[in-house]
Amino acid sequence: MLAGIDYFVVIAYLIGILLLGYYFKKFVGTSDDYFLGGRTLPFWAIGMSIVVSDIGALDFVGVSGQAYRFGLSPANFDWIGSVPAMLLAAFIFVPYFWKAKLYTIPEYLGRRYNDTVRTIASLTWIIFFALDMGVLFWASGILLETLMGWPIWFSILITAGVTGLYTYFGGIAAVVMTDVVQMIIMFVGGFTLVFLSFYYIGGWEGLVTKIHALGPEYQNHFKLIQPTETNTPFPWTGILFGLTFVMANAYMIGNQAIVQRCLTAKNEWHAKASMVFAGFLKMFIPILVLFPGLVAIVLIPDLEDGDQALPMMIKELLPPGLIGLMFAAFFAGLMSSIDSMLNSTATLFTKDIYQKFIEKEKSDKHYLFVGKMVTLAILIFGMITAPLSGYFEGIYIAIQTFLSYFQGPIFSILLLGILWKRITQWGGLAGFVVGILSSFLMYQFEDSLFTIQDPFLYVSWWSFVTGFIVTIIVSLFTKPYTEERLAGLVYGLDEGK
Amino acid sequence: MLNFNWLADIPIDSAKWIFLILFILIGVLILFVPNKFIYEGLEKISWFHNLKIWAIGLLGFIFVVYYIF
Repeated sequence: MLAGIDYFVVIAYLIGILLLGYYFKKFVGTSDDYFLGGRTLPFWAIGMSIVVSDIGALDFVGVSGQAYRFGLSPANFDWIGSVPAMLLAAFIFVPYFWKAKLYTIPEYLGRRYNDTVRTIASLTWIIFFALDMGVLFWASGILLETLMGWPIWFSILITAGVTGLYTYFGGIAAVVMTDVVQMIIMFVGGFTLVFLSFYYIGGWEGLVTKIHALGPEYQNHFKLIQPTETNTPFPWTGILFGLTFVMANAYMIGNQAIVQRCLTAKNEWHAKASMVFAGFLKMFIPILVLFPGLVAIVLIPDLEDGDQALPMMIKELLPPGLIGLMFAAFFAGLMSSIDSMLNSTATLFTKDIYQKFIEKEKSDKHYLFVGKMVTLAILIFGMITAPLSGYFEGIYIAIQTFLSYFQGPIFSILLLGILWKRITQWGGLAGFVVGILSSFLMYQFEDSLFTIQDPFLYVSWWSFVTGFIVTIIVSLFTKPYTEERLAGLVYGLDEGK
Repeated sequence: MLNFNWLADIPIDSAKWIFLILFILIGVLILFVPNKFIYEGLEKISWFHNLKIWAIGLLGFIFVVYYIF
């Protein structure tokens, strides 16, 4: 499928990214440089990094496939499922996280509540990132085997080698600045395909007319708001309550890989601006990943598997050279996800587990060394566990479901913790634990509790509500921290006042 | 109840307005954020540093998208 010039583009991209990332090695002298980039990064780089880390190679294929099957409604995840949450993060949470000079989100939970909450939250993210990396390596290996004909192990080695090297040496600064280039490549590659798709189909009007002409089952393909009895997994109630109110906020505010970038900002304004700028860039993501799937409905009808839509569109529409650029965009999506997980896991383990429980009083050089070693260890763990995904088909869903147990409860205690000084450490702990238990129970009895398949949006909402209520009730019966103790951790209780 | 069946009778156009009103509500709340808080961290301030303008622009963008689709 690839011509010589395509291979040239992909290889040039890989070498360029490796050199760029390695360049940032010279800026790493302390653990602060490694985990927070010395708090020197500008908003535009952080914003671009947030967006590209959120979009993986699999999203290109998966979201196009969903658009092929369900139409425009999956775009809710990047629009209403991101923008309001990013504004909430920008104006409420990020300024407090940045001012508190945090390294991790669990560190905030530890200061606001207690070390038990911090440790549970941190271990949850470490386990998720470690397991997810193997799955990501394997799924991407399969994707690249299908698209480029490369053996799976070769794709894993290339990705792990390049990403691992620059993340190991350059830390978060290398991760963010390579993400900037990766985002530009993703946008150039993606928009090229979108423009060519629209050229062939006769523009937007041509697309709408032709899809509507396919029959009554396609009449809702251009509607973002789907009825409650929709055949898609995206009823408006789930989108509003589960996605907008809970999952999006939990992701943008409670996800270490996202928020750690804002903590690298050179000042508080840049930290806030990075999230708003990322929200603006997010508006374009559905155009990149979803529109090719919509065009494929007309140009390549009757595909058995919707996930074939994007690869087929690339094959049909793009000339040599641009195909290479599109594959470079795939790599960009994959590598930006891997480097985020590597650095965030290293930060979580070093700061929340190692420095807290194992070696408390070591030198900064020691923690820098540990951070680098954890980066290497997680990378090797991901490569070793990658083939497991080939044996356990449901492992990807299982890992995502595992994370969804925690999304609602963790957002409930983050929200209450930052907004209400009356919330106590025991309220937070009880709300977090009971919220997680409620998620387990709802999944256990999902057949009798829910009528739709895969009710993760509803589970997120109800586990959030459970955590929220339990946190308040227990807090009202237990003793809160003093205002001095909560200064800088609760909205309105600034330090020095 | 857990499936939100009790909201099934809401017409889809009304549901759409729930989303649109949410965007307006967020915009109004952002307008109430004190300017001092917005500019925190900056030494020299220009009009384009006003993140409220950025946020309102972004909300306007998403409002139009949801209004059309």
